[in-house]
Amino acid sequence: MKKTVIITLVVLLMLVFTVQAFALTADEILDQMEEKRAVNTTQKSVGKMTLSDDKGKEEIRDLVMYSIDDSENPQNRAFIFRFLSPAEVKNVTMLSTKDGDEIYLFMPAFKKVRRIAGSSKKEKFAGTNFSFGDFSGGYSKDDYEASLASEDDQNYVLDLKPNDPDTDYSKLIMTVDKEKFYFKKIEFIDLNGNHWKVLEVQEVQEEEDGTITILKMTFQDLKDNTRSYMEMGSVEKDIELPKNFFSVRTIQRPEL
Amino acid sequence: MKKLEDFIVRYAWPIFIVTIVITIIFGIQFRNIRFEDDFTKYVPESDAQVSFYNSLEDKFSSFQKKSMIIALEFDDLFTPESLNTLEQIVNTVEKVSEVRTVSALTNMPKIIPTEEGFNVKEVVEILPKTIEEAQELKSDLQDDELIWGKMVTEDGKATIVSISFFSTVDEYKAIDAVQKVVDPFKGNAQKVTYFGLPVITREMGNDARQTMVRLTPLAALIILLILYWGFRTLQGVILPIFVALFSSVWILGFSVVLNRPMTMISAVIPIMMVALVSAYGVHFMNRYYDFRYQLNGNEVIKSTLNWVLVPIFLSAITTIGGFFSLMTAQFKPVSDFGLYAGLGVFFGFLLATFSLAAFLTIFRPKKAPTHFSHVEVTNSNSLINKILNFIYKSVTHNKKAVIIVTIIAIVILGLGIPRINIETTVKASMGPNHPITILLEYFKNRFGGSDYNYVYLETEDVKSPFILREMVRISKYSEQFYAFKDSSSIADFIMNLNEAVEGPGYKAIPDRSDKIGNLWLYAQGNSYIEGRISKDENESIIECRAEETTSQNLNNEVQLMTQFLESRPKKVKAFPVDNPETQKYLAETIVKDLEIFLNQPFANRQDVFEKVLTIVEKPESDFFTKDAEAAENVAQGASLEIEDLGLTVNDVSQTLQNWFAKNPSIPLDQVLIRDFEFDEGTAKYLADVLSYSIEQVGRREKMNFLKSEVEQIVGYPLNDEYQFIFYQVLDTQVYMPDEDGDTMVSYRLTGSPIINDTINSRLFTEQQRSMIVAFAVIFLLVWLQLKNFKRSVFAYIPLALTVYTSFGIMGLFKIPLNVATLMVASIAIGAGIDYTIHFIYRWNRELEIDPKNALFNTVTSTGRGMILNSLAVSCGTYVMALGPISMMRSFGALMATILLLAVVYTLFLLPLLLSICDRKKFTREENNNTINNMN
Repeated sequence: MKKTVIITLVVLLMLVFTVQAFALTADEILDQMEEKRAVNTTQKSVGKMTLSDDKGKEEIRDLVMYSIDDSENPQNRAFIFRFLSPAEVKNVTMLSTKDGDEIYLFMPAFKKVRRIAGSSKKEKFAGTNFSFGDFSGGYSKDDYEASLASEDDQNYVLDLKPNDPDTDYSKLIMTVDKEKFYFKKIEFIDLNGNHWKVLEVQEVQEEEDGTITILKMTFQDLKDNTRSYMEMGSVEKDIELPKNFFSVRTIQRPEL
Repeated sequence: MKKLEDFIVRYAWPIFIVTIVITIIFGIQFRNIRFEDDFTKYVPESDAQVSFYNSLEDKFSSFQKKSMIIALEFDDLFTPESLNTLEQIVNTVEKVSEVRTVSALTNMPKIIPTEEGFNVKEVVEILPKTIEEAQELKSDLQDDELIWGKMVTEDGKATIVSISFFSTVDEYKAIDAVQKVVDPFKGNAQKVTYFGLPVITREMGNDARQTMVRLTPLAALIILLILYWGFRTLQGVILPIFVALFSSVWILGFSVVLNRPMTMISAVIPIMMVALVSAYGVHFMNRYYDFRYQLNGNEVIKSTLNWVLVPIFLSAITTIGGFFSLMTAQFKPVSDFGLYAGLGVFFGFLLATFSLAAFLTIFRPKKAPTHFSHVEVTNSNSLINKILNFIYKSVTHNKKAVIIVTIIAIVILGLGIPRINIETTVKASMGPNHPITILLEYFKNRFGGSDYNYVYLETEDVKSPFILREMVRISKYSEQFYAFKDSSSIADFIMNLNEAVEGPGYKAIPDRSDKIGNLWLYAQGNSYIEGRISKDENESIIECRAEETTSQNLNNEVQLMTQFLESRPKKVKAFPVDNPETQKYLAETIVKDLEIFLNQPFANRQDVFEKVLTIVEKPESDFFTKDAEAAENVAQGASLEIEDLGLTVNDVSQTLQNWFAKNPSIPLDQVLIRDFEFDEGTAKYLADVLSYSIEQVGRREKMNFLKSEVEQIVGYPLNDEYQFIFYQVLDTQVYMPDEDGDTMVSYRLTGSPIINDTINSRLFTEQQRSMIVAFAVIFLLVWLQLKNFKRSVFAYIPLALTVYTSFGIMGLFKIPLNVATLMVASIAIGAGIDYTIHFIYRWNRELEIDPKNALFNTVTSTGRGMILNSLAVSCGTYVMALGPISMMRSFGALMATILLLAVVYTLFLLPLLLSICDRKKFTREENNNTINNMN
């Protein structure tokens, strides 16, 4: 009898350690998320963005986005974001190259391209709640000190502390889908510990290769009570783009 | 009447007990008395100006209705430590739940030009960490008209934090909450000053409370002394005072029951009651002592009531009528004052008759002063008796002298009436040394003022180029006025953005909506901008700092601004600048704008116009000189595109120079293919970019040419703000007045100083109306009493002279007409009629009893009461001249003087006037032996 009890205990202990061994760390979760992102590919997304201000006024803008991703060489990451409507923002185009280090804005009415300070990833883009940095996407372990705050059957909750000393955030609280490894929600906490912004994903599309494409998301600024809702109507992957597509020249064209 | 007399005597104890109980009940309410002096509530909220002003709070979050300002003084604002202190204070204040918006240096938008672009940040995002960075920020901000001289003082040592509260909050509590959180974060600030309407109204409330608490007992003491001098008995002194004090208690307690706050004006009610209502007690005691010599027991009280109840009642009714007439005023403090004062007089009547009679029935004095007999008057050397004798002799033997003196007084006073000055500024109301005045002067000297006026505009879209340009023009025009200085609007921000996009020298409003639409992307979401446009972006405000100035000046400036706004086009349409008509209109617009900015018309206007037109008509290419400098500028303007293609600005500049010099006929793309081995597509692309850059350089040259020509005309260099004007020479479209115009705009001026001006302009109207009503009401009441129209008119003359005198004195002694002194005439009517009624009533009764001695008896008996009363009233009212508020000091001194003069007019003129009406009776008396005996 005594022997049976001891063996049972040992087996149970081994099971516990085994489970612990297979439990994911926060860094591993972030790695999984990176894998699920559409990487090493070009992408064209057409959709619309609805902006709501603190007075409840809404403005709808049609947009198109082109992006290129390169997990092995992040400096090759680039994207072009162009508004298609309404008239006052038509063809206003943003170009981000070198993973957000260089950002340009084309203002069609002035026929001018202006460089927006490359380090200003934090700046809101064109009256939206999204910053330039948000468009470059990705929350990699290289940029954050991550820890697993909690988990349940469906979600991981991670605490991410930015490594960038110039950041406006003290922490990000990220809720990650356990099955598909994409962030469902990110709460941005300011330097005083107050909740500042919330980014929530309403809908995703899982591709055949298992990567996740975000189709609908909302970015809300709790301090000034504004909201930007982005919805992608169509997403095309691995499209052919000309060499030097992501350039100042391209964004000045009437048609991309 | 007999039944009433019997009733009062029979139920003396119950009446006395009820009086005491009511006094105790109302006295308990004292702790709940509220003071409030928000001048924006002077006029009804339904008033069009006030309701419009209030509506702006919902439309514009920056609108400073419920607001306050914090001024921070440092040794040097531009150090990391000082700016950090400022940021901490702003952050802390933003967290206060009552606070809606905070505007401070740290959250002002800052457009930062970069090498090939720009950035829009809030100042706080670039807070310097070193002294050098701080000083760099300082020199950068010195060029920012939104900040320097407005938010930061010219010496760079002080700044203000403007805080607006939610409309539903209690402002007093909000200010306290802010002060509480700010104080611990003062840091290295040398001085922190809080300012706002609630600060002012709280100070006024404190003054009002002080006035009541400090001066009422003093007034009572003075009146006590005068009454003792007159009566020489304790009861004669104390009882009239108690009547007055009790009526004050009743009315103050009643105000709590009505749940209406006391104001600075109504805070003088207790003093007024002590001064006015004591008269009823004086008259009662006067007659009571008269009868003490002749009658015994309860017959004394009954006879006293028989003689004084009616005149006191009639006097009270007319006084109440005078005060209640103030309730027709649109200004709440004035109408409230009328209500309280009228009710107070009514309570005084009840106390001076019913309660006093009951008291004297229960506690009968053992003896009466001997100097009340008529024999004593004749023989006595006491001052008051001498005065009474002098009056009697004057009206019987020196009638001509009395008339001549009266006429001289009328003439002299008449000179003062046209000089009456309306003045309701805080400085004039409070006095130059009052803490509020000192606070206002501080803000005026350091920050140009603490109050704001607004130019409100409504249109289809505030982002229209025409509208934004009109904002600039209105702001510039308004700079010359005290009431509309340091204007700022969303147009200022757009101009800064345009310069950041188009380059230095382009601080202007583009002529096309698509350009503004592009710029607006950076304006959206900015709290400064969002606070100054409505939700639908069809309304906006131009915010103007208002320096305090005289009422007349403010009125003039408002009129001039209104005229200017009326002269602006209200319905326009865009037309291309491609024909002589539109070119002429554009040239004319430029010349007009120059005149606005220079604040003077051109002497040689036509010459200026012709010169400008010549420049307008020329295409930009005519101004482009194909030289090395131009090539360098062209290349620089396309630097991003050039570098994107892997070239340098220098390389392209060189190519352009060669092209200008040698082969200008060869297409540029061919030159680029040749020099840089581009493919056709790339060459065409760069050629298009460079061609556009050439146009831009040409535009700049055209603008600069206009600038130099204008500077030659005016004779001196013009600063950057004129870029707004010179930029227009590049316009491709103009906005011309057109009946079918699709851009419409309307303007309206508002602001607390504007509302103040509205109050000013209504003062006279209100005064006239109140006076006319008071005159009419009281005349009707007098007529009812006298039942003779002619007699009523004659009886009214001394009163009319009293009112006339009040205005004359105001003009001669430069006492401004304001909310307080406005009431003097109405009060003079109500209080002054008291003397007339008592005199006539006594005169009529004496004529029935002893016609030979009627005049003498009336003058020496009722006259004594009138003189005692007027002396007590005047001295009690003069006490207000010791108050902390200038306006109330003027009121007290004026009121006291007028009431003294009222009794002088009554005692000297009324007998003369009545002698005309009652000639036969008066003639008979003149012939009697009493006068001969006195001589």
